[in-house]
Amino acid sequence: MPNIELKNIHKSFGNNKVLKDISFKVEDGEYIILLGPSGCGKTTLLKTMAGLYKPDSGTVLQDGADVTDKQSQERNIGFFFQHYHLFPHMTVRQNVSYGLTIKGAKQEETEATVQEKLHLVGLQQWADKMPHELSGGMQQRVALARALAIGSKLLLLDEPLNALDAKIGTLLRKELKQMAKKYRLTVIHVTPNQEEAMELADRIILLKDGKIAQMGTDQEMYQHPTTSFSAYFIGASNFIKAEKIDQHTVRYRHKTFNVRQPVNEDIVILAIRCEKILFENHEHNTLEGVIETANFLGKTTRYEVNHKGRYLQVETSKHPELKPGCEVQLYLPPEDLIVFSPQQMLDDEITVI
Amino acid sequence: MFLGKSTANLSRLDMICLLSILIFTAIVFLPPVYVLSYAGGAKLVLNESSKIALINSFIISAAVTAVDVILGLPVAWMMARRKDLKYRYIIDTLIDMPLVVPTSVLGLSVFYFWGAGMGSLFGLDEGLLSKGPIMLALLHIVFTFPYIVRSIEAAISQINISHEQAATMLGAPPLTVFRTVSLPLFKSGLIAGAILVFTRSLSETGATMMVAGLFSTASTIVVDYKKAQDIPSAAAVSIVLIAVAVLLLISAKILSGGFRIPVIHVWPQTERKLSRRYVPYRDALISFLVILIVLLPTFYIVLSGLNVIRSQTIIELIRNQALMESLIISFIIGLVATGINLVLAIPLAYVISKNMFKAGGIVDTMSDIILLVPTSALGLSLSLFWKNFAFPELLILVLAHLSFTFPLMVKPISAALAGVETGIEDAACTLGANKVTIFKTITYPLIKPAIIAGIIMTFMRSLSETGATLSVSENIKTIPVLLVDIFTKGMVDDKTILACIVLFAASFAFIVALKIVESKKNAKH
Repeated sequence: MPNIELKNIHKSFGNNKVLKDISFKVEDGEYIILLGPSGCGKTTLLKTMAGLYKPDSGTVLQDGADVTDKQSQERNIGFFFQHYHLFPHMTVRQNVSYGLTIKGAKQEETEATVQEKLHLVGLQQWADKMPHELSGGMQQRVALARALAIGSKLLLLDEPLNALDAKIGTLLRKELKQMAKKYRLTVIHVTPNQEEAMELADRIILLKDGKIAQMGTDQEMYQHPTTSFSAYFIGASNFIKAEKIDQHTVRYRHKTFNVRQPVNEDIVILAIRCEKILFENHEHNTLEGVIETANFLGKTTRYEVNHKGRYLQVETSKHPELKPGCEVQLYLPPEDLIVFSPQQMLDDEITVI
Repeated sequence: MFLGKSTANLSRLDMICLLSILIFTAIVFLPPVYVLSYAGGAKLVLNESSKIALINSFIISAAVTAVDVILGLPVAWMMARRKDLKYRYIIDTLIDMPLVVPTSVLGLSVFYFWGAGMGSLFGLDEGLLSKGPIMLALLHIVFTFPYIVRSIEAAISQINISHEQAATMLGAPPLTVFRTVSLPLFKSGLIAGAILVFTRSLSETGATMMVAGLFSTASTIVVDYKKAQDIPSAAAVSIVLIAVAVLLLISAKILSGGFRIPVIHVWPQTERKLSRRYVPYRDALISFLVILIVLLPTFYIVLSGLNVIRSQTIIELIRNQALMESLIISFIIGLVATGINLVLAIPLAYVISKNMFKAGGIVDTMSDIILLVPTSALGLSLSLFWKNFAFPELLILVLAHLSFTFPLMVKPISAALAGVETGIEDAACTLGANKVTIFKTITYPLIKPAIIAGIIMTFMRSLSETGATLSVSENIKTIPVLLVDIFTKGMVDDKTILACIVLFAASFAFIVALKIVESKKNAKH
């Protein structure tokens, strides 16, 4: 039923190339997260899927049919806008019924649908209020009800949880996921929040500078990042620049490190997740250091370890006795070291030590 | 007093502000509304011809407003939405031109365009149109057009496009989106613009006298009564005009607040069809009409009068004592009024934006009222007020110009001051700056563009005003008044046309200067 496919989408605003050769397919009933830092083109991509922007080149297929040139008002897509954008001059009821009225639905039918959608988001009593009388969380629910009311099974959400405070946001995450599964909705949800992505997504599409950096399930992206950017953006990682000794050995600051993956270049970048580093002493793969800071995060503690002026991030719950000033040994297990070529370092934000 | 604290506790700056309020009330605010003191008197006479003139005026103004809205809305939409438009700055300047060109010059231009210009096109010696209500309406459309475009444009620019996109995603075709979402959101700007146009059309005097012919309007009849020393009749018409202006303001507030455009009724099929089919025709038709009705008549005098720019005509103009005297006097009055207003407006802009002595709202409303009083009524009021003093005529003229230009000076400055975050000034304060230093180093640079805009608007208004000037002065004639005079006597010759072109060029220079100031202001944000 509802699926959407993009083929080689390009989009520029003036000289600014916002989307570069984007292709992917979203299957019926999938919950897709478009993840990426601000300015990576997520919203542009979503609006292009909705027909609000026309791509410079490429094709948009909806349910198998080419809709690239179809007006967005004829596509029947539920679209949720960042900051909601409820019509400020209409009541909650008028907002939710707007789409049905436009379609010329019968009054009784419209009223029944509005009741049902408002019940779904728990705001039946608020039907006759104006948007400005509602809290942010309530407005978010109205916007959702409005998008759902036109009866589309395809829902595009632009940062739906961002403007809310953390507690409500987390609560609404669960509701969103349950609703999507219950009504068999196909959802494409844009967010810069990695945690939100991991919790909601069937599949994550990671965007970077208008390109797809990686696409896959959260597990795949976490365990097998194919670009250094995915290792950086999904979960926290340390990046180390090392020299090749042989196929499975590298050198970093006079220490030898074994790696599982093959090393094909003279200089490589090693990535390791913060929680994979162990406070252990081994013959290889070990760096000594002093704990600089320790941040208690609840379930775990994040340590910043100073290794001769370079800093590594380590996260664990196993050593509550470690305090700033303690001297420690850091073991970087060979199977957890991911090898990237330096050409893959497509991001300046990443600090390489 | 309303201050609630003794003068001993007031700083010198407070004293300056208080003094400014006093001067403002006595010299700027009181004279324009002085005529209202006649309201209670038994001497008021609203005779039959006054009633006819008033009704004529209302019909003309209503028609002008309707045409302005129809033509102005698409232009405003284009200016607000097409920021990437080619030659945008030129279109922008063209739209604003009728705002700064003296209305008497516009009157001449419109008269020749619809008379001689279009007439020769149709092979008519007498002209296509002669003086009368239709030409009057066409003239009023010309000089009110910028008001409607700018008001609507500002309101449309405020709309977040996502609201419209949201409606689109819910299946609404463009026309439905416009009617149910955009229109309700910029409605207040539309109403404000319509009111501005209506009151401006209702009150314009000088150019109206030029093309009205035998047709009498409220503003021309006030001048006639004044000439005949029939003050009770003049006062009666003026008071009606002021009352209508105030009523309009009140109803505007009610309209833009409570009144709702019904959204429940939609005609999806019809609107879907209309959205598609007629857009290109509509755009072409509107462009044609705007060019024909607004732009060509505005520029006709320059386009057709270029042949008068000859050394001989220039010498004639320079040697013509009446014209040169008027030009010089106009500039002097403009400069002096602008200077005094600037000195007065800065402290009062502080009073308004910081609501000092809790008088901010009152001073602001008082400036609004001055703007609202129709200039013919204003002229009568000013002349009645200043007649009580035996001042030289030139001084009275300057004082009169102070009144009606003041709002144009204080409005942009107080708006800019309100936009200066108090945090910035507080920050400077914590760094050890005193109030004068803060103004010089922090506040002044931030509001400078607004001050320059105020200066230009004030000066241009003073240079182009006719109605009030006409009522106040007996002997001294400013250049626009002299032009009306020459025209109504049928004595327009080449040097008069040249004088018009000089005024037109000056206006053009000012509007370009204003645009540069504005673009600098925008660049800062």
